[in-house]
Amino acid sequence: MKNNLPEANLNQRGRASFDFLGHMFHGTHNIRTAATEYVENEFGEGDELPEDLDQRVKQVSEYALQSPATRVRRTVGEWHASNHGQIAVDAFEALGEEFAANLHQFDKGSSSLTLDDEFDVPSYWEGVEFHRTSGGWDGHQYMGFIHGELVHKKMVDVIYPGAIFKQRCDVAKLAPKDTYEKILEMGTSTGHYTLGLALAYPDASITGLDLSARALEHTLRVGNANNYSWDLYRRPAERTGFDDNTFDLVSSYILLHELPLQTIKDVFAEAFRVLKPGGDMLMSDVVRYAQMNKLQVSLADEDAAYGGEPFWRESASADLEAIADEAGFTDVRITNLGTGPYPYVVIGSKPL
Amino acid sequence: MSGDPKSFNNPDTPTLIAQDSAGLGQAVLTLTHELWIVIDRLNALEGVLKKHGMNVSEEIENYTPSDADKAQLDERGKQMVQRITDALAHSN
Repeated sequence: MKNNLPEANLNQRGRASFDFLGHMFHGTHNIRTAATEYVENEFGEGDELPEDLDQRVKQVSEYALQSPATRVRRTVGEWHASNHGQIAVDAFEALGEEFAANLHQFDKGSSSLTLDDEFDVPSYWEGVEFHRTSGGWDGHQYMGFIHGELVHKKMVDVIYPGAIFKQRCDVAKLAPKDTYEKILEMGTSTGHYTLGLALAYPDASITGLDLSARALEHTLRVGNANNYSWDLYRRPAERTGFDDNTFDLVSSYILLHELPLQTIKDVFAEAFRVLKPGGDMLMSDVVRYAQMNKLQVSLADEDAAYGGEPFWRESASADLEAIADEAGFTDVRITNLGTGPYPYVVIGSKPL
Repeated sequence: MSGDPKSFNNPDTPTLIAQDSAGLGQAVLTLTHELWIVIDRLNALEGVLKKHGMNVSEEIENYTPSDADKAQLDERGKQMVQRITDALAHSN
């Protein structure tokens, strides 16, 4: 989906480097398969593995590393994790100062951004390089563009074709009602899901929150480039500062796994508070550990640890249905897009 | 990993060990082989173009492959990575 921002025509080095990141993924299919089969042949579905997840990961990891395929998989993964961010930054900077300056034409428009100078950055976020992103989400003046337009569109979309926008657009359509007046998006990031919500509910006014100023600046430009009237704020989802009973729909896409468990509970409670009676909640995130066998959980948990996901375990272990119930939501239900367990979607309503 | 989320920034990822060195040598040589083919081809290309009076360095920077070329390049790139990682895992 085009978002009307200037197209990033990368130089030969940048273009070839992103292509190479895709080649690394597709060219190691056999290695990944061999590594998985090695542990599956030993542990099956992991029924005999320890219940304690630390012990389980240690046992599976020690066995897996006896396989050259696993060691190569980890080597390739480590190179990818520690290099993709710099490749993206280098590719952006090679576009030149004129390209960067050109983005600022979209700072003004029908959307707004409020950055609070006194903003109290949560400890779970500050200094953390989520996804092994060099310097974190605010690690570069144009990190919003670098991540949203380059990493997502030239790397992730090559690995998972069409996933970035289609899944977000499809999830946005899962909200119970056909129309909403006021929507709050928690964890706006670079605006991909914001666009999905705007397309699904063209008459709604959309408010977005995120902790990353650089991501919000990018979303502002996406909003202005498309003549949307989004109101964006740098605020945590668990402390939005909005009045009770303000919104008709509160939604998030793949935010929750970046949060500690207590913050996830606080986010659901905050969503309930700011929803009008009769309003709806639609949250989506990664596959739950409860949906996997014990071996799959162990492998996913180790991948997350090496992939810059400090809260993956406690988030993926959380029962979001129970958390939504506890927050006060009714008619809570779990669904997905019918294409597999990801994304895991929880829907509920605030009673009238 | 400790309880500090920043400890995930630079994890101590287990990668190759001493017994991988034989495969590593194979992989380096495989990579060298591939790289040499590219160097030779670039040199040939620049030489041919020069003979025709064309300075193409700037055009190369801005070059975008056609969809068909891109598909072919992606397949070659995938095969190159596969050959090298297979050599690294001494599984070929």
